[in-house]
Amino acid sequence: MRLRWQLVLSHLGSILLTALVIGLVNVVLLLRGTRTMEGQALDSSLTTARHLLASRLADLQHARDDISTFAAEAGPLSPDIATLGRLHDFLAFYRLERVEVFHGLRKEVEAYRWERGVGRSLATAWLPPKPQIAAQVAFGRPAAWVQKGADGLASLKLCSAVPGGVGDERRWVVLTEPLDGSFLGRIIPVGLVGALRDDHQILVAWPETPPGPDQDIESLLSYLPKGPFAWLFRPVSARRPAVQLDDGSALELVLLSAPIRSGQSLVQGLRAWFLVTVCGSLLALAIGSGLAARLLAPLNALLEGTAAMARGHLMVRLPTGRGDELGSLTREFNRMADEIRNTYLGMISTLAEIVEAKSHYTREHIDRVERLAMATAEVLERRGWVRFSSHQRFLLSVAAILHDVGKIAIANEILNKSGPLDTTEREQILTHPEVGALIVERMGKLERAAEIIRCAHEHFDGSGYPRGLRGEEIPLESRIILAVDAFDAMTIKRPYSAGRSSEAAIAELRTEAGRQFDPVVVEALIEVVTKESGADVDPSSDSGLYRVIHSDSDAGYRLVSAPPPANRA
Amino acid sequence: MRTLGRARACSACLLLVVTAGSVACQPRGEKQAHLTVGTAWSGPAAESLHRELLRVAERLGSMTIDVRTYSSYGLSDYLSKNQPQGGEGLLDLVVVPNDWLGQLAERGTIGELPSTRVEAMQDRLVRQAVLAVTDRDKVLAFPVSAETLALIYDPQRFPSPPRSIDEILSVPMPPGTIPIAVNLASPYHLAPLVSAYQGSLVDVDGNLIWRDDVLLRVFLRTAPSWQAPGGWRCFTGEDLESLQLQLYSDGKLASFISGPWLLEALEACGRPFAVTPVPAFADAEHPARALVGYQCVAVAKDSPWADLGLQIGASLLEPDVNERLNRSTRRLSVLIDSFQSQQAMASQGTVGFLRALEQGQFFPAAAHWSDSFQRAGDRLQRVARRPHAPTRDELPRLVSGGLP
Repeated sequence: MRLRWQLVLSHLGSILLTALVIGLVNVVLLLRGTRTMEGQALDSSLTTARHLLASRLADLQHARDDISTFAAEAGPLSPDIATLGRLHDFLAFYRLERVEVFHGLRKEVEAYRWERGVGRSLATAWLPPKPQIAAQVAFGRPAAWVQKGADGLASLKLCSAVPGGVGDERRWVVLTEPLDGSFLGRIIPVGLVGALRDDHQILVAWPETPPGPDQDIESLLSYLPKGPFAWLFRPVSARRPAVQLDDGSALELVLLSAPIRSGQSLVQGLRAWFLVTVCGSLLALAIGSGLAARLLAPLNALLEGTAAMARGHLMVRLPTGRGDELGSLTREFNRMADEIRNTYLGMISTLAEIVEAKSHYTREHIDRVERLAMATAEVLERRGWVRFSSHQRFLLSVAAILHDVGKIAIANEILNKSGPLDTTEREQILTHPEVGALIVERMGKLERAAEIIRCAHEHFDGSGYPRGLRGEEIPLESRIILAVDAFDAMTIKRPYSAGRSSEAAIAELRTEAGRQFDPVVVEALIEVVTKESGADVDPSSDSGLYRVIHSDSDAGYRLVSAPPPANRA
Repeated sequence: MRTLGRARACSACLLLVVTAGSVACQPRGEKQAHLTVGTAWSGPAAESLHRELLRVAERLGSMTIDVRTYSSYGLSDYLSKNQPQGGEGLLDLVVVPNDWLGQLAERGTIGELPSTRVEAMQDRLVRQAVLAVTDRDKVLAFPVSAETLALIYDPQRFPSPPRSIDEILSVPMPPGTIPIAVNLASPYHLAPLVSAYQGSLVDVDGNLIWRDDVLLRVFLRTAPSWQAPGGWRCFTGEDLESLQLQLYSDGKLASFISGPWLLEALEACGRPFAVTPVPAFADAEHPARALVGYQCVAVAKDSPWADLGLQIGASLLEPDVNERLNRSTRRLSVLIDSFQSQQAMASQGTVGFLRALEQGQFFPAAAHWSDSFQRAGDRLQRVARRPHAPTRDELPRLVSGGLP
């Protein structure tokens, strides 16, 4: 895996780990908060339920007093139609289920509603079984107790003495409120499960009623509405005494609530967590990728520089702007590249000196050819016809210096002969480009320079040597060196030829443009020598064969089209 | 290039995960379904309904159901005046008698059932039940139970089922015993007696026929009973059925006209009872045909959970659910299977009500019927509200509305 992606992934991993921990803490806190809220909501519901219960008890007490007054005014009651009709009016008015009037232990009259008050087990078991209640009733004080019938149905009894009775004449009114689902359903808020229990057991539960003998609160859980992740949370429960009975016991109200909000909070928390983690990861990926790219840019440059060096690009030099370890590494690389380049230049210089030693006039020629070649390349670049990299410029320079290195292998007599050469001598002379190329090739990393040297005597029209290449087949650098070499050869004195003037040489160059020389190179060279010698030559005039040459690789150049005439001016 | 392609693939995968995760984490359905059911049923019937609805809700999935009980008048008033078009307070489902359906549909409170639901219903219900919830070819609700009135009588006083009202009135009773009681404030209770003189209560257009002269005749023919000492209270007043039941239980009432919902209480009261279709008067030309009503579940048109409401309505017609519901509410089944398997005749007294159901006349679910029925009830209330029994001279003016 690339170093960049390793950095990005490590960055992402740390972000994910952080998000995981923060998300977990967040969800836990959210759930705790929700749980507290659920508990508070249930407490509030419990308070409401207690108020409703208290309100109902107040109604019952009011009804009990009202009926007691009626019983006192009416005197002994008989179960005739009129009395029953009156008692039923009370039942309807106060929404009572059953009312009984006792004279001592004898029931004078009773009235009940058919829906809930008709059950036999609801009839009051007189006297109340508990001694405290019996004593309270016997002394004529109001009393409340819970009676449980044989069928398991519990009912709340409210009793008060009818005013005016004394001793055996004492009469009581007993109201009965069945503690059934209908009673509890009106008290317990919607969506909750609840129960009313005394000290020992559940008396009634909602919504399932009547409860079985062993029923506990847990058995009611199945009636709670189901929400998301319901299996994960325990239902919220709350209990509080609701009714204080006269036997000293109390009825306790128990409420259960499904943890729906907790489930919803968990879903929301997980959702937020997921989204934040994913968005954070994407952000971390983007930022990490950018940071890694910035951090690794010098390393990439070093990698590319090293690869270029390995390919023979001896002019490589990297920017050294950073002050950190990577900056030091870059500086060391540049130093190493300089060392290698200098070694090569030393070898080239040595070869040049050997050539110089072989021929007394060649040294000047070499210098001039190298200078004019570089100047011509610059003009070509300025005119926008070609673009040289630093490495190409270096190779041009090397090739220009060593273009005649093959002459080492040619006998001095032939090389310095002032008269015309015979065929054998000429054949020997013709081998020097190939020999020079072989010498340079063996130096390593200079294959391209060797190729330039090999082609430095090829003519534009294909009449050159050693391979007879033509036009674009000949490397541009070779074409430059050929023209420059020829120009210099024409303008200096040589054993076999007297030197010509610059104007004459330029004229000769123009004459040979398109034949021996590349016209484009000729024009660039003319511009160079014109500026140098101040010769009266129109620099803008040329052979008329213009071309644009673009470089797209180190290996060669590509002609595309002729520029518009206006650019030539 | 390869690195760039891999980065793109990773980004695409991450985006896919984000999208999938976001979709997966979306809360389902935005919020939990909460349905409110309004009914005029009370006591054990309402409890039983609530219990069945909770069972259905548990089976159908995550939802809560709240049952709100009203008095019959209260529910009618709420639906006509206070039912909002949405949000808090909207009753998503209502359990109402079939004669309310036309009015509710006319007001836009409820809508027509989808044809698929209707087809499923037609395969399972007795034809009359489907007709009873149909108004102008639109099926408006799910009929869940049938109810009609019959004569509940003491077999110790009447060894054989009374063949006429006159026979009931002619049997000697101990002092303080009323031979027969009818709720004079309810056109529903008086309908069989009126139809005995008048024939059908419904004209060809589905309108109520409620003639004052026939009504006066019914009042006069039953006068010996309500003019007896204390008798008037047996014919009028709040929660009349409780009083009638108790008087019957105490042996102070020989017979009364009531519905199957009293069966459980009758069984518990300790006095033997029998049920027979309401007999006609001896001089009547027609049989006394009681009105057959149906308790229906209708879905509010504006309910956000209308589809769920339809599903719940259909669930209440499933054989086991419907049988449990009708058994606990002591109403009569509407399922063909139930009649074929004689499940509907399982308890004492049910047979009498089923015979009354066969002989009865069902009324249309049209709005104009409900309106005229309500007006008839209002006029009866004017008579029944009086604290004392009216004299024979006052009756004609009371019945015609001439006396305040």
